[in-house]
Amino acid sequence: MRLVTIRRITQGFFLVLMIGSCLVNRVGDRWYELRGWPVSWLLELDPLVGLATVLTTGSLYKGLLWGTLTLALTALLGRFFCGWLCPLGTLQQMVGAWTDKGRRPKARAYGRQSHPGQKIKYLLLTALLTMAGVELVCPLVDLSGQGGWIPPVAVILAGIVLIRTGQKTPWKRSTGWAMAVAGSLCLMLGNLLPGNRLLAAGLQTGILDPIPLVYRSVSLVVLPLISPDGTFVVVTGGLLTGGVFVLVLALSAWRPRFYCRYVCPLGALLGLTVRWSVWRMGRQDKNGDACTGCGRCDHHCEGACDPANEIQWAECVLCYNCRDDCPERIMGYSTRPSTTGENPGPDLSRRAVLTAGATGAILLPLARLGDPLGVGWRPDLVRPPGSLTEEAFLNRCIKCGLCMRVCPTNVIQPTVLEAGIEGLWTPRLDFRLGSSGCQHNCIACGSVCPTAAIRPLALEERMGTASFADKGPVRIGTAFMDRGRCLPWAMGIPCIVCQENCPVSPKAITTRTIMETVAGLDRLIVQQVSSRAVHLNLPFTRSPLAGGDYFLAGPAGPQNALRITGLQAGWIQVAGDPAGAGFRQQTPAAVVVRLQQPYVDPLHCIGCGVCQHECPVRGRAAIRVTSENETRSRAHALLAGTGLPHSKD
Amino acid sequence: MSEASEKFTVTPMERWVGFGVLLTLAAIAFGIYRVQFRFNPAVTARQAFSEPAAAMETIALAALAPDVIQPFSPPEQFDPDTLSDKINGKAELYFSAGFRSLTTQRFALTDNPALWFELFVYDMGTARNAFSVFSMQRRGGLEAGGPTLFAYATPNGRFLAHDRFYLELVGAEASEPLMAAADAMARTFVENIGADVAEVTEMALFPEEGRVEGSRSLVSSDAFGITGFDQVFTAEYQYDGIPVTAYVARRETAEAAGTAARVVRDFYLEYGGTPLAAPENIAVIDILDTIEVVLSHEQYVIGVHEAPDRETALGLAERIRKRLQETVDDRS
Repeated sequence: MRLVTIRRITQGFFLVLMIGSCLVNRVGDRWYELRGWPVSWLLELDPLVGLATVLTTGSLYKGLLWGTLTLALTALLGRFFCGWLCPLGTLQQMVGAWTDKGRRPKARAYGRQSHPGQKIKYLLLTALLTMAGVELVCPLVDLSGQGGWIPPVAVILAGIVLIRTGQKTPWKRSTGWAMAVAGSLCLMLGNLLPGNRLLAAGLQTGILDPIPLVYRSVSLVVLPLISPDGTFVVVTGGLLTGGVFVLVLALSAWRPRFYCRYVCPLGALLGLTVRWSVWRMGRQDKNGDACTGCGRCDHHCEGACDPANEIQWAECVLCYNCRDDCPERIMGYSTRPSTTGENPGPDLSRRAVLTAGATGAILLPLARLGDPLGVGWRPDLVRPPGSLTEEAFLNRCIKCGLCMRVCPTNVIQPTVLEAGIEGLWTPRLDFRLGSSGCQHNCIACGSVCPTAAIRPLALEERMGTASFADKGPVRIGTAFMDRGRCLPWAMGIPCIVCQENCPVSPKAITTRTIMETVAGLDRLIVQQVSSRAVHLNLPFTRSPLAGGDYFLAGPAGPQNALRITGLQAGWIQVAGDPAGAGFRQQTPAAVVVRLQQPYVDPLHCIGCGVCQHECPVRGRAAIRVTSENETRSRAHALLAGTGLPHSKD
Repeated sequence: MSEASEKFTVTPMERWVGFGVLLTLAAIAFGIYRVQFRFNPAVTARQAFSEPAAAMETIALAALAPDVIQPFSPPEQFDPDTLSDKINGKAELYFSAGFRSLTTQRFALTDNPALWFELFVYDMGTARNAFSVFSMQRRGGLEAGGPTLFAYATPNGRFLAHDRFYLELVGAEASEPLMAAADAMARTFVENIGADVAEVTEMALFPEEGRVEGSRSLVSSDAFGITGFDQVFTAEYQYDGIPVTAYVARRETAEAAGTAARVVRDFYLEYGGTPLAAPENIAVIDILDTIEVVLSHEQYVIGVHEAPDRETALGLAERIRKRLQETVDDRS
């Protein structure tokens, strides 16, 4: 079997694996549900996820060690991940192959030749990694910190030593100069900009990283559209998510693997890694004169790596098509370098790299000028249970959409601008769109999160039982009554839906009962009295007076009102003896309603949002959950005092 | 593929590499297969939470759905430990009536998924219990009728008791197509279960004349506020527009029935009632200008609650006793 065929089988395998991972990502134990399927394994194989989270957090989450295997194999074999594993690459390849069918060989070859624009992805990677790692220089510029002046001065001195000792070694001299300049810059920044808000780091690789992109697109757009399990799923920002996905595929119809070549930061990272690879594609004719220049090696080249000439080794995705197409059999995969030379690439100018890095470093501080993580935090941004503090959360979330897909009530939705540009596609809870609120006995989102942006919770911790009893349940926010919209508060209409549906025990919503005269039914005159009914000059009313909450008050006042049990032709039937309650002919009477006005107890409310979901006031609910009092943030505590949740930050 | 590739010969090295890759894929597939048996904590947590009780049977609700609707959510199951998570506000009512399990699932119209209803199937253990929760929640003035003897409808809901099950089909909104689908699903459920409420024998003891249709109920516990007065069937009658409640409760023995009748009598006397002249073995009490009658006959307690006068109360109680005697005679 040809290796090209093997490669296609492998691509198909991983594409099915990715789609299957998204498909089964629903809580349940049947074979087509979550069970123990490793739904995030492909994400864990992505080394960019691991590298970026290491830069932002200084730690590598357990599953992300798989990424080091990918990096090691890439260093050994080349960009096999892009050409053989990446599902987005496979999808693009399918689109490219399909659209290429109608093209002439020359046009086909033209679209597969290398292009200077392929450097863009390296610059994007530089910008994204700078954004992720910029805080690493904090110890150098924080002159008031533990080290004081010592770290930057040490760097300068080490640089001078390198310059002095490396007179004949260019890389030592360059490194020495770089260290001296960097140390000086740090000293300057530390003096001029104490408190350095300029050094804000954040994880934004997930926006462009192909694996989170394809997971997100399939989970949030493709599967809800085709609805394989027969459910109707609502997804906010579907047009944006789907639009990006369609654009990526559409561009690959114009230029095969457009995204891989020009945009993909993961491809760029792997392209940098192959510089030291042992095996590589290239021309293997011993004398370098066997090539007839037919150009067939370009016809199906997936990486646009110019295999016939000086091969752009960083661009080669090991598609093996050139070997398949070459009539002279001079293309091969070997430890020997290509006879026509190879460019390990990429050829990037220092200026371009510095510009990209500086752009990445400045974008996040600009986005955070409004202080969205401090005093400017958004209370309507409710994160899933187990989410880290907002800053730590943004430093880990890769926007893959796994938590949104697995949520059994579909209450976790992607943000568009609710969390600012920085939080695009991160998960938030929308209690109106889901089929219910956040289920307080569910730990699914944290259990599938590949980076622990939503940390995995034990059920006991989520519910505040067993050894977590002293800490109480995990709170994601607190419900607030909008008295201007609440039926009992604003309109005198009986309703206790929120109280009835509150799932915590004891209930976080309590009610206080009041008796209130019904407008328009407050100046009635008794016409006639019988043993269980009173005849009144009752006007037409749409109020369901016999619902059990309405009473007829007479001379004895509302305290002694009789419950209305029926209504018939001007007669109000009551439970009890009207005469005993003081009703006589021509005495005044009024209909009063018993209202149970709801109150939220912040000590018991966990912010699950079931009340908001069930509130009968359509549109903007009369009870709404905000992130006040969420467990993850001490700064968002609602009340001082005991009983409040223990903070994680 | 080009002409060249058609003539392509695979080198032994490539063959070995290809074989190695396929082997790796097989190993990955096998590894994934093995891993899927180690359940995700989210799944085990859910299993632990919704694991059916020993006596609980799984009902495949989706299989009962007519063509016009489709599942809108996965089925959920609750037992006595978890019922409060679903219906916290009303759970006590079900517990007192012998609740065993609840299965729920949402269904939406295929052509308009915005219209959905949630089906609640309460397994109450016995038909008596199922009828009890059905009757305790029924409100007056609602349209009776449905696939069973005990069923009623609201604009956005269908409620019925059938065998040991109490069903609620509650729609997101009052929609005719949605309720038609709910009716069809309820009918299918009833046809699948088969049995009906024949077990509830006390129901037949209430005479039809004057009885308000759909007013028969079963109070599981503490009827009329009398502690321990459990499993009491009631029915409402109308006398000149005045409601009167009749009740029947069956006990294990005639002695137990006599004791229960005395407990009821003593309750009313304790709360200020005045005993009136009455036939032998019948207590007639005037309390707050209403008349209470209670008596025991064989294993049954028979009573009339809040009657307007002595004659009405005694007359109704006598009619029930006569019906009971006829039933006993028929059996013997």
